[in-house]
Amino acid sequence: MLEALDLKKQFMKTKAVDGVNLFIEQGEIVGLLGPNGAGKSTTISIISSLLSPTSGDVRFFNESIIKQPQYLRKHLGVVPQEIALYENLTAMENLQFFGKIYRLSSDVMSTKIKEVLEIIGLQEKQHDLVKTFSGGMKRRLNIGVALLHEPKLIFMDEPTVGIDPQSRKYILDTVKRLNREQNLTILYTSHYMEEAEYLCDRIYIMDQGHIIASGNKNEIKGILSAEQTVVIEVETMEETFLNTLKDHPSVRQIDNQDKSVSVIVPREIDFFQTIINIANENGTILKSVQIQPPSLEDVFLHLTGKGLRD
Amino acid sequence: MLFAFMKKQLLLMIRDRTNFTLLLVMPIILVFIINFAIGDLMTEDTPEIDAKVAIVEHTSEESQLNQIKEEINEMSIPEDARNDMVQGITEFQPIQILKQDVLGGPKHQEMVDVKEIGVEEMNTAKVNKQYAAIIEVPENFSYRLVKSIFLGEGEPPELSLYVNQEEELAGQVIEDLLVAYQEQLQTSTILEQNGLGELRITSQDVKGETVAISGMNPITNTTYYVVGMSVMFVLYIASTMGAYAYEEKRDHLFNRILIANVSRWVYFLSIFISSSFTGFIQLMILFSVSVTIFDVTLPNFPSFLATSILLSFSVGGIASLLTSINYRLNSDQASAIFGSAIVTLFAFFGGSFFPIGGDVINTLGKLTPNGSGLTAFLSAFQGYGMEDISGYLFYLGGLTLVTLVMAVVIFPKRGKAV
Repeated sequence: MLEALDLKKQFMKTKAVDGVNLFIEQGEIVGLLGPNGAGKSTTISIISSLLSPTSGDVRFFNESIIKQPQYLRKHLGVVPQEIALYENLTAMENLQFFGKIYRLSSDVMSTKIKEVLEIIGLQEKQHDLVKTFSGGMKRRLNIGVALLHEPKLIFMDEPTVGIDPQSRKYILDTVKRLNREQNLTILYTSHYMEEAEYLCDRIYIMDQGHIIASGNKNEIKGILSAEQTVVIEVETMEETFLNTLKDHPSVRQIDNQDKSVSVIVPREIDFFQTIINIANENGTILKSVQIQPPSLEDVFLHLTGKGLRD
Repeated sequence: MLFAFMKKQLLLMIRDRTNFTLLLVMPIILVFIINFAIGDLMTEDTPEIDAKVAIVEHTSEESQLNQIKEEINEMSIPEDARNDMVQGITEFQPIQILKQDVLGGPKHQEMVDVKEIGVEEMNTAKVNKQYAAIIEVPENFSYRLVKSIFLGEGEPPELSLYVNQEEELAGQVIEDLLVAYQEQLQTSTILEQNGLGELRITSQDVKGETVAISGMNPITNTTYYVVGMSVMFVLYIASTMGAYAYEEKRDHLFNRILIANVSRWVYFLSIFISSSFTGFIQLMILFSVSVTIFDVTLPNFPSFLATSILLSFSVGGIASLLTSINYRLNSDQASAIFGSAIVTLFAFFGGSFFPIGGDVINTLGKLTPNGSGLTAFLSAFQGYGMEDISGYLFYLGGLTLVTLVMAVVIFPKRGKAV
């Protein structure tokens, strides 16, 4: 359906996107993951025709969109990371405005607005000003605007940032339902690895302008098939305990957060006893030690050397 | 689609309480305050003029005309032509016309008090400053004038005018009337000599610059400040629209609009049209309220309407330019500076606060859209027609064109990230 071929984008001396290749098949949910500054938003801007690449091509049903973006735009919905809505208009007025500029006839627009309001669950609030909405409601309307013209393909750039868990679940379920019921093709970027795990059929991981890994969930996790993740919870995190762990020759990767630390070590090693020894030597009181198969987060950490939310 | 943009802009503006107050309520309040504050200092009507004018004739006009008639009767020309000339001279009495029709005519008799004085009194009158102006009719004025016009002999003579500097306004009025009268004499002379018309001068043909005397409606200070405030506050539409447009870029709404397959130039056009339309609506509301509350009258509606439309277009042009600069700089500084500083400067030079004197400042003021609009509106309120204000209308149209061209050149040709 859509493919990006060797995309490059350079701003002055900075290479924001450097040789990105990706494709999206009809009906898929594809995840595009990467830390801040990885080049995700620039890539989305290019493949949604808002930004010209320095080189490379983007093809939608085999037609290049670089000089003729109209066909793609007709079938594309974009949910930007920001709340791109008029705060001083009501939900209905926002939908009507965007319906008009999508050139929907009055009858079609009226039907589509009802449908969209139902999908995003804002029927009761349709005549309220957007500025009175909660963060979650704004996010839902942000998605609703992108659905008005029945797109075949939709780009969602971190659509759940900064909202409560309930709204987040609602949005994730909506995305899943749109894909399942309307065969909507979705490119989804997120900081939340569990969202990608829940939604995506395939995943691209970006870092420093490059795609550094791609495949379905199992293929990605297979990158760490020879390793295991050990999650250690402690009473108080001692610097010496952390440093000793970091310096241990078997530790491939370490990620500490407050009172827990997760380390990636080879699967064949029994690391349990080693942890107890290190804790005793450094006077650290252990609360729990869990050995888990690697998650996508671990893979990400392994590939980029940093957490998704760094 | 443009209608959708206009509707959206109007809704945003109406719901933006701060701007709504600034754009519609503030000018009305300011007119109230200014009116109240200076109401006692300025009268509602034009200043009363009581111009005492003395006319000094060195020779009696009647004797001069009789003399020329005798000379013509002795000329060896066909009798018909002779009779025509004598008849024409009998009807043509330039000083009589000046005294009775121009200065003493029904339009001016309440303001001008004409008195004939002898040559010997003239010097005393000058020293004592008894009169606002003294018109000295030189020796054989009518005789020489008739000879010049009818027989083509010699240059037409000129009247002399002494103006009392202590009665500047009255003196100015008389001077304007006299200049207009002499110009009319010259025009009539040329027409007569070239057989293009009858030699006839009436007070209808002579108009001075002073409004009350020229027969146009006077401008009250209320009308002045209604217009002054309206042309000033309409400029805030440009800064507001420029700021709104930048918010659309900042909040990624512009990208969302582009993704909907709307050309950036359609968007750009929507800024121009929405701003022009909103400016026009604002002017209509302000003037409607003023007509209702302040009893402002509007004698020439076409001139008023044309000025409103052209001024609104120039506001649209400025809004487009500010939008382009904001987009180019990726900041709303251009709108902010325009709204906070440039509008005030324009208002000052354009005469929104008080009429500006001095040729240079006055010219500068008329180069501002509000200054140009103010002059055109005031003319419309005085009753002047389209032909009288066409210069200002063309200027506003030109200004619109220039700002639009600049805006198109500056507007970024490619959008940034989503």
